[in-house]
Amino acid sequence: MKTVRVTVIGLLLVTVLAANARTDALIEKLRAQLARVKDYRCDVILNARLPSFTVSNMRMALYYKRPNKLHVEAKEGFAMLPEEGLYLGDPVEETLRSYNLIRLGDVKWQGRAAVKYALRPKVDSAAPLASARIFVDKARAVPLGFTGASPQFGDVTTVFSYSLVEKKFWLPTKTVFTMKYAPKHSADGRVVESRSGNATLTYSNYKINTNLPDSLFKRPAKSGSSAGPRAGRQGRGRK
Amino acid sequence: MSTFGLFGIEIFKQFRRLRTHIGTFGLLGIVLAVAIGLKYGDASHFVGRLTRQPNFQIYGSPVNALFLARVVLPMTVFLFLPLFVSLVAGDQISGEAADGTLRTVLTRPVNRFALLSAKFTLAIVYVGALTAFLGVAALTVGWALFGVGGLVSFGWDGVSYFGIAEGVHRLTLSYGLAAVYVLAVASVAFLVSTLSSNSLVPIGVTMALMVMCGVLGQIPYFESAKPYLFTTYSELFLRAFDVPVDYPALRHGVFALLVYVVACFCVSALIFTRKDILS
Repeated sequence: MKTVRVTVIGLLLVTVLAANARTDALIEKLRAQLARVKDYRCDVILNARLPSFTVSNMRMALYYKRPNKLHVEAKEGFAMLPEEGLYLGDPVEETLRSYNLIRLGDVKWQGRAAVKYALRPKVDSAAPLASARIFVDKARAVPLGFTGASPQFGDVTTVFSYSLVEKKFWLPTKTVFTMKYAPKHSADGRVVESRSGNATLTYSNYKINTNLPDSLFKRPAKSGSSAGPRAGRQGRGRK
Repeated sequence: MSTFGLFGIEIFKQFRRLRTHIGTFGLLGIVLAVAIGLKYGDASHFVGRLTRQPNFQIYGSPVNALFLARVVLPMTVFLFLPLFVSLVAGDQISGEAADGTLRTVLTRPVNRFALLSAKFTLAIVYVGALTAFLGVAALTVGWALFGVGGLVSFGWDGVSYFGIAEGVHRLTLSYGLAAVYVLAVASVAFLVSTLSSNSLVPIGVTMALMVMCGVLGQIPYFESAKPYLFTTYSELFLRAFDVPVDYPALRHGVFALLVYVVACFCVSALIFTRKDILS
């Protein structure tokens, strides 16, 4: 009996260790892949239909540099970007700073073989997303998307589409963010409030590892002008 | 003389009249005042609505040439454009009657319907030209002071952004719709003009009708009459910024306003061709 108990516990331990090892392997491969991109510049077009905000062909130039520096230039004088949900720059580093990943298993997502991870907040704080999940492409080792529930946006999904840039970097060509609140109904069953929406970012003209100067990201923030350096999500104050 | 020939003469006469240019200078003054206010004053009234959008990061400024053209339109469509076109359209017949020139004009073998058509065409051209002038003036002043950029539009249901190309398209549509509404107002002024020998009467009656119809449209008891009031379509131009644009609703609004225009012209023709010209 004792032998059986030891064997079962041993098997469980091996399974957990093996699962963790697999988790780390894919995530490390993913991080390594993304880390090859030190900086980039690309053109971005935003189209969005969100509650109380509609965007048609908002053109921007996006500059990204490790670690976590982001600069946006409005190409037609003005631009607005949702602070959450679009995961500009490196979505994985941003996520790993705040969350631990727990492997949930292999799934098919957006037509590709993927591994699904749960995101658990590292600190005991009000997490922006509940039931958050990240899906990682097994073959390409790139994040396919996020799902979760947000008190502000309802059920949210972010899906990344990729292309091989300069024949060696998998970078997003499109990010689609969708939010869906359960519609509120009146007493007679009519929909009185429906807060669904979506935002699509289309990326093009990538210029990768051109050694962008730090000064580009150190522009002082001033009201009604370009945003300044971003120090993580916490630093992205609303203007 | 043909309607075309008469139209040429009417244009020449109208251009020489001071009141023709009151609208131009008035609108230019409004555009300049708004532009200066945005440039040197506190634009937070407009920009503040953007910053109140939750969870958005803002880059650059929404104030530009297209924005100025968008902002001045509602400021003028409800009062100044109708007032300025009434000044001209309402003066077409009554002004001549007041000056004592109408009888002189008609002593020549001139077809009354042709003369009325020429004057009405002039009113249409004036409405189009004045509305276009407002847009061009706003874009020019805005371009000089702020530069060109995408169009930010504030509506009842939130904020919309259009890239430059679509922004220009939306503005053109909006100014066109505004022109149709102002044309309906001008037609009313023109109709009253055929009834009066005092050129102030058409302006006063038209403004009074605008206010009265506007008030009636707000009273629930007269809800059934609302589709027949021309003021119901005064905000049609704002729907050019809806996403997506409700083209059937726009077509319906334009059709209703054009019915007003045609009806006013027909009644004007009926009155004018049978009228005893005494002055």
